[in-house]
Amino acid sequence: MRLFLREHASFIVLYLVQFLFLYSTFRWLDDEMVEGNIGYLFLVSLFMLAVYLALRFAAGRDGYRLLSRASDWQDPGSFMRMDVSSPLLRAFKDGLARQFRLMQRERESALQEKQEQIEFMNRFVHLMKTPVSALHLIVQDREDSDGAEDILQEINRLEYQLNMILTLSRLSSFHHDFHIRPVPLKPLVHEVVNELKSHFVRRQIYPSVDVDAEIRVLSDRKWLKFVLLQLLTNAIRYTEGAGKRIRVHAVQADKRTTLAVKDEGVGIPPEDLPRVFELYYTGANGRRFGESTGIGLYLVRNICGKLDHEVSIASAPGEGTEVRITLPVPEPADERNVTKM
Amino acid sequence: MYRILIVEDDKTIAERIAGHLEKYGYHPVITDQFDAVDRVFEQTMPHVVLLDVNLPKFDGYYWCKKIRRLSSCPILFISARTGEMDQVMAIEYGADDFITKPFYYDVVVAKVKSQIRRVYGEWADRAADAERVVPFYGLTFYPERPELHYGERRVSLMKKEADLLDLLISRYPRTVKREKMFERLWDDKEFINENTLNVNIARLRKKFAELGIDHAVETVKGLGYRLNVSWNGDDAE
Repeated sequence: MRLFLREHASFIVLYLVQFLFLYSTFRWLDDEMVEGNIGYLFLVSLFMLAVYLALRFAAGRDGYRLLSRASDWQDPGSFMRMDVSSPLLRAFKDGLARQFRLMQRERESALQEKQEQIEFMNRFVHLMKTPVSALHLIVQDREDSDGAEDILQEINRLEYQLNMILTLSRLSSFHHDFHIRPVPLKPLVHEVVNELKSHFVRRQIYPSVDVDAEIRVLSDRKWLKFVLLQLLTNAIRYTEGAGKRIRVHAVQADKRTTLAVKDEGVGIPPEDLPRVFELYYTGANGRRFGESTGIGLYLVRNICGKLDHEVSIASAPGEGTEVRITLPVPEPADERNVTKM
Repeated sequence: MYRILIVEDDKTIAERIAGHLEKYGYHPVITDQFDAVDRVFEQTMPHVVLLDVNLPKFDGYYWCKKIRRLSSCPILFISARTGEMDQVMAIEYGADDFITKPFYYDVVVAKVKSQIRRVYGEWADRAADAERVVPFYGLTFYPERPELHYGERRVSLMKKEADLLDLLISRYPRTVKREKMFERLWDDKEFINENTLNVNIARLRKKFAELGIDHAVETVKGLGYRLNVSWNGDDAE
């Protein structure tokens, strides 16, 4: 209603001004005739104005109502519901509808392009894995020759980066690629540690796992595994000197489980600590070790955010780093669909 | 002899797996007829099939379904796809196990072996399963018991001691790096710690001492350990 009145304010003013002008003209011409009928004339004229405005309002009522609440529109097609017969509002609605369809077409083709790109990435990475596995076998056949271990190390690195790309591209379709279920924590931690066996062995760093066999958490197994793999890879990478330990332990309290990965590595300088979760941020350690991509922890925080897990990091240079993830514990009702091991 | 059909479009990988399986006493068959895997199957009638997922023309799932109509022999998928869904799909199409690329030879051999045992009986794989006996300069090492004999004397070893000895003998006269030993001692359930290696080396020396042999396991500083034939090597049984 207010929008309607604002829209027609100038017209109403014009109408009244014109009435006053006519009134004064007639009065100047014939004083008496006007004087006696002025009230009647005014009423008739006002009635005409009111009828006109009422008709106009009826023709565009829905449009005014919707448009005055435009800031509350939630779904992209809200204006399509506008039922109006006013020519201007109709034209406006049709214009918007066309605009909307054009935008939607563009959006769809952009989405499709993105999907194709993800598909391309996936295929590409899988294609790359075949020559990598062939190399892997070749090196295994020449285990004793000079430099074989270094080559194997480089192959592992290649594979790691390939998996990283795969994960990054999968992340964009995350919403239909995760299932929150009760996950037994200990077997998962063991699986991850065993997958990193060659890294532990090479650096002579000792894993120690202190997770109660009873503990289950509500999470997605596949993504949680990626997070753990990432945290342990970091812990190994930034630990110098043989004989150090990396400890994975879990504590359950108040329907929450805190899983911590603690290393005895070089630690993170305090000025870098607040930024380690940023994409492509590598900090002083990144410059020193030259192996950082600034992607790993970004993914960790991103994935944990989507899974509703809290992540925190604490570190002291020279003493080590501890990353903690807080996860929900399943209620008895969740226990029906335990993740198959 | 067990025939193993390898369906893998990367020649290097196929040939190397075949070479390795041969060493273990199997008879590998490689095919490059990726448009008629079922016919190849009928011709060779293999005991186990190793099947790649990404193949030209039809994928591995397709061939798995076809082979299943002909036979219930074990089918192992080899794939670069690591997703849970891919593995679930493989099992649903009738596969028995799944190996993800890249992989170690040991994993392939172990999986083939366990499938053969499962399907063709506990003792069927006897040829590839005869007890290993390792003679070494008058010593006789039985890695699977595990025992070590020297003349009339014998000692039994613990699993980890036997693993270390096996490694030391196979690399003789070279030095075995600590890393290598560490890797061998790695336990998938109870993770090793900084003492594991030292303790087991000490135990192994004690076992040698029980046979009356001293200084058999030498420390090579900063590198690892090696065997030193400090006993009378001609004193064979």
